[in-house]
Amino acid sequence: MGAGDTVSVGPVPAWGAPTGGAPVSPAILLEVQAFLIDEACRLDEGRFGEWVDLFNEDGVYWVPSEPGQASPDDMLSIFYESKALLRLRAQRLAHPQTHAQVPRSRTHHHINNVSVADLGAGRYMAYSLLLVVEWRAGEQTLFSARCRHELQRGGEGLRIAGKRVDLLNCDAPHRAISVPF
Amino acid sequence: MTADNVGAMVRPDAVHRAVYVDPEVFALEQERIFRRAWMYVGHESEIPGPGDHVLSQLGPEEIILVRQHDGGFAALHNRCAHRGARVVVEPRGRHELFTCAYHAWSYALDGALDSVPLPEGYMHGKGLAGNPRAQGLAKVPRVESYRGFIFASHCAEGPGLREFLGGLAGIFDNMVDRAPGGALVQAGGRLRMAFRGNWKLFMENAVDLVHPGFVHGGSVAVARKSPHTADAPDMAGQTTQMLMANGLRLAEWDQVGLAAFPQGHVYMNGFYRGGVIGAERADPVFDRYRAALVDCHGEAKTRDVLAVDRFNNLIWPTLLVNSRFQTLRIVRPVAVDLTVVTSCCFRLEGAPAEMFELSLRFLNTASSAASLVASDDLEIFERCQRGLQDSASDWVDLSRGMHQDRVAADGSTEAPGTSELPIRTQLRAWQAHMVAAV
Repeated sequence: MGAGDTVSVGPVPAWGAPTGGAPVSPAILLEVQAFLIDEACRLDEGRFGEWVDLFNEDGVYWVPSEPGQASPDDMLSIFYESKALLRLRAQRLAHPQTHAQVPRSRTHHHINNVSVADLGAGRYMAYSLLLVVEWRAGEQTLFSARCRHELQRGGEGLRIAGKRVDLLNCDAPHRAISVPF
Repeated sequence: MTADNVGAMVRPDAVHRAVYVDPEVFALEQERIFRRAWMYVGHESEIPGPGDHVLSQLGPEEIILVRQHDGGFAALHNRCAHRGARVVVEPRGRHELFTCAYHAWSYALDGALDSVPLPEGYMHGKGLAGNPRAQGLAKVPRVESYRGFIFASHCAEGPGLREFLGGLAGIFDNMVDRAPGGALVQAGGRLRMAFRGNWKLFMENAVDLVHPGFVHGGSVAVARKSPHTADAPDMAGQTTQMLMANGLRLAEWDQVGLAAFPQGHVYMNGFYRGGVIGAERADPVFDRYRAALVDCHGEAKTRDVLAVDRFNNLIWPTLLVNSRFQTLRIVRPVAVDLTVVTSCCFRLEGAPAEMFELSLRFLNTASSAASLVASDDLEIFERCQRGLQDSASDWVDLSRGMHQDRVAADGSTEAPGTSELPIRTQLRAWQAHMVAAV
């Protein structure tokens, strides 16, 4: 979809180009930044179940395999998971037979360049740059990505209706990825 | 043991660790396996029209796979005949001529030299006519398609493609026969994963049916507890069913048959039962698909086509085929301890669009670097690569199930699922190539 198209909230959300929506107040910007920082802490501290809790019940997490990939439905993806699958992923990360995490990764999720657009009806699109530094088994790996969070305000505050992570090197061969971005 | 006596590194029931960790053995493999064997380089649907080309890898060399004006195709070395620069750099495209960016030597689709600036300046004024340097882009001597799957070999001689594919040729027939429109189209892009380990670890593991219960125990356990174990054809359903399928007991894995062929090829039968991943399913999408297939083949052949239920079909040395989910996995040995695996899938022409989602989700679940399944395999390969550096013992045992081999009527060897027959078979083919005179 192109710039200016509406952004839908649903089981398979569409993500528009990083334009459109109305500007937000500094208070909303701060609230969204705090949300993103909290999300990053949950991942860095290995609280994966609590990370999944941040998604709406019909929320989707998507990491495309190609730059500018239009859809997860006709192309392969590095991650394309519903909340049910994310929950399964979090449970597996806690399972002792998850060899890919013995030893465990240590990560820092750095969040930069945050901007937020108001989509109306309690919905926001947050754009950010993400730098993940991962240390595991004696080696440090860097991932740089552009993230789009489609957020929705509900009874428990902001929740993720959809999160798209465009890795700078999405089409490179990757070694095992265990900790989500 | 050194690369000089490479033939002694494989015994009937054991393999020397140097086969996985010695850089000299890896260098010799490049010459004796990857410059000789037939290897998959691309699908005809990737290069539909004249001038359409993709970059591909044929052993140690990068090649340009390009459709010709007469409908055939050529594989050209991607090296300018002048100063040696890589000529094509974009992974795919369409050109009438390939022109080198350095001094503008240009080449026709068959690799022939088309034009050279300042031709009279070469060879003391005699020009390039008749000079070996004027022969253009070097051509790979053998390129052939089997049912749309293009293979190439750096070696001008040796068995033809059909003979090389042998008992595994039928798996390509089966994938094509699954398309009601009679053709496959490669689609959906690619997934790539890498590990710091030898390429053979991946190929051997693909047909090792004892490992899943142990290596994938974590994902099996959590999938069994998931509420999404119903047959719903949603994304959680397919992934959960795939994860749980790895949880067979050893006695059940034994029932999954294996067949091995003299060329080094192996297949394992399917082990997905029921649900959206079963060989036949009861849902409106599959009903429409099956009806289209019956229109194409008739009921009897449709039943035969859908009854072919095999999981990994290993075309030695580096290709894995799954016809039921229309996928390929192509293994690229980069260094003795570095391997890249590329996965891709195919759209069945004439099938309901939803059928393609099954292929996509199959690879998303099984072949992404973030896969809940493959990430545990990759970790184990890296542990093997590290462990095999240890010199306490040089030999790795491969004797499991040796006493159970049965020779079948078609010349293949069959074994129960827990046998190490598939590993012995691949290493025998490896040995035969490695000792053959160059």
